[in-house]
Amino acid sequence: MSPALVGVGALLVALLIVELLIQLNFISRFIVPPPSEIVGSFGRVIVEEHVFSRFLLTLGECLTAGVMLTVFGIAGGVLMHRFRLLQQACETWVAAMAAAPLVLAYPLFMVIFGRNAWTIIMMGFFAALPPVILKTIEGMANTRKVLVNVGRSFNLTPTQQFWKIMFPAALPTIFVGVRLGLIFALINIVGVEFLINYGGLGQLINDLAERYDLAGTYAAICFVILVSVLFFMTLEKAERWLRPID
Amino acid sequence: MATTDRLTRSVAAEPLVSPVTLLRIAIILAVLAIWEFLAHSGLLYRDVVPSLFAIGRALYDLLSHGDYYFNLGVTAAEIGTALLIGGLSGVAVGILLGANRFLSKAFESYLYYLGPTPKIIFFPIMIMWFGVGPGSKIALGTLSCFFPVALSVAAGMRQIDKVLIRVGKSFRASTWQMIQKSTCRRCAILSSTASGSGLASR
Repeated sequence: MSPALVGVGALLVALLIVELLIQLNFISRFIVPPPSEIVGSFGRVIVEEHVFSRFLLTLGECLTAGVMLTVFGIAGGVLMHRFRLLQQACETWVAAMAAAPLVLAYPLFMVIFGRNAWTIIMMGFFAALPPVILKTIEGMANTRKVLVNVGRSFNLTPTQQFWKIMFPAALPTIFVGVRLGLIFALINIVGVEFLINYGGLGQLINDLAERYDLAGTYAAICFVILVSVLFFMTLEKAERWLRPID
Repeated sequence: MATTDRLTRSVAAEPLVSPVTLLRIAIILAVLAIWEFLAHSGLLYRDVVPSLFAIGRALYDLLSHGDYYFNLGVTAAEIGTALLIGGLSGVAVGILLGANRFLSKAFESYLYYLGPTPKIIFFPIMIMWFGVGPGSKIALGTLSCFFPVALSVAAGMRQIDKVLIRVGKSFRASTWQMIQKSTCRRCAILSSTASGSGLASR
C-alpha cells in the first residue's frame, strides 16, 4: 500500500472515530460538531457567506502587501548591502523585528489607518518585511566573486554591475525571502482580519464563531487551511521554476 | 619592533565610540524625534501618538506596579507550558517521522502544509475546548510551536551522517540509545526548539 494512501486513510479513519464518538455522546456536539455536519455546511458557508468574494478580498490584501514588501524589502536590502555601516547597525534590528509579535501593535495601526483594509495591509506589510530585507542582503552578499570580477573586467558602471550581475545572481535567494514574506503576510492578514472583525476570510471565522455556528466555523477554518495550503503550494512551484537547478 | 609598531597603530586608530554605535544612536534619536514631532503636530490624534514623556511616565507606572510582574509571570508560565507540550510532542513526532521513511511519506506533507497556516483561526475552537482561561492560550501556543519543531527535528534526523547510525548499529544500540547518544540529533532538536519557543510566544 502506498504511503500517500495510508495518510489519507488514517485521516478518514480519524474523522470516522470522531463522528462515532460524537454520535455516541462521548464528545459533546455543542463543542465539536460531527464531521458529516461540517461537510454538509460547506455549501451553505460558500453560498450564504460569500466565501468567494471574501477570498478575493483577502487575496487582494495579500497581493497589495506582497507588492509593497517586494518593492520596499528589496530596496531596503540593497541599500543595506550597499552601505556596510547601515547594515552593521540595523541588520540585528531587522532580525529582531522578524521575531517580534508585531500583531500586538494592531490597535495603533487601526487608529492611524482606520478600521479598513489599509490597517490589515500595513500590518501584513510590516510583519513580512524583515525576511525580504534579510534574504536580499544574503543574496547580494553571496554573489559569486567570479561574476563580480567578470563585470569589473568589462568595465561595467556600478549601475550596470547591479542590474546585470548582482541582482540576477541574487534573485533566487531574494525570491526565497519574498516567499517567506508572503506567507508571513498571509498569516498576519488573516490574523488581523480575525482580530478587528473586518475584511475577508479571517472575519468570516470570527463572525461564524460569534453566531455560535459551530459547523460553519469548522467549515470556514477548513476553507482557510485549504486556501493557505494552495497559496503555499503556488509559491513553492514558482520558487522551483525560478531555481530549477536545486 | 614590528609587533610594537602594529599595536601602537591599532590603538591609535580605534575611536572612542564605534561608527556603528554612533549610527545606531543617531537612528534611535531620529525615530524618537519624529515620534515627538508627530505627538505635538496634531496630524494624528494626541492620544493615539502620545508624547515620549507620557509614554515614559506610563512605563514607569507599569513597571512599578506589582500587577505587571504577576501578569508577566502568567504569560511566562503560559509560554513555558506551551513550549513544553508543543516542543515535546513536536520532538516525538519529528523523531518518528525522521526515523521512518514510510511514516514520513504518509504524514509529513500534512505537517508541511499545515505549518504555515495562520494558527489564530483555531482560536474560537480552542476557547470552546479549553475555555477563556490560560488553557486556550497554551493550546494555541502549543499548536504554533509543534509544527516547526516537528518538521525541523524530522529534517535534522534525515541529515545525520549514515556512518554514525552504522556505528550505533554495530554497537547494537537500542532505538532509545541511538536517540540519546547521537549529538547531531540533539543539535537538531535544540535548534528547532529554539525556533519553536519564538513561535509559541506569539
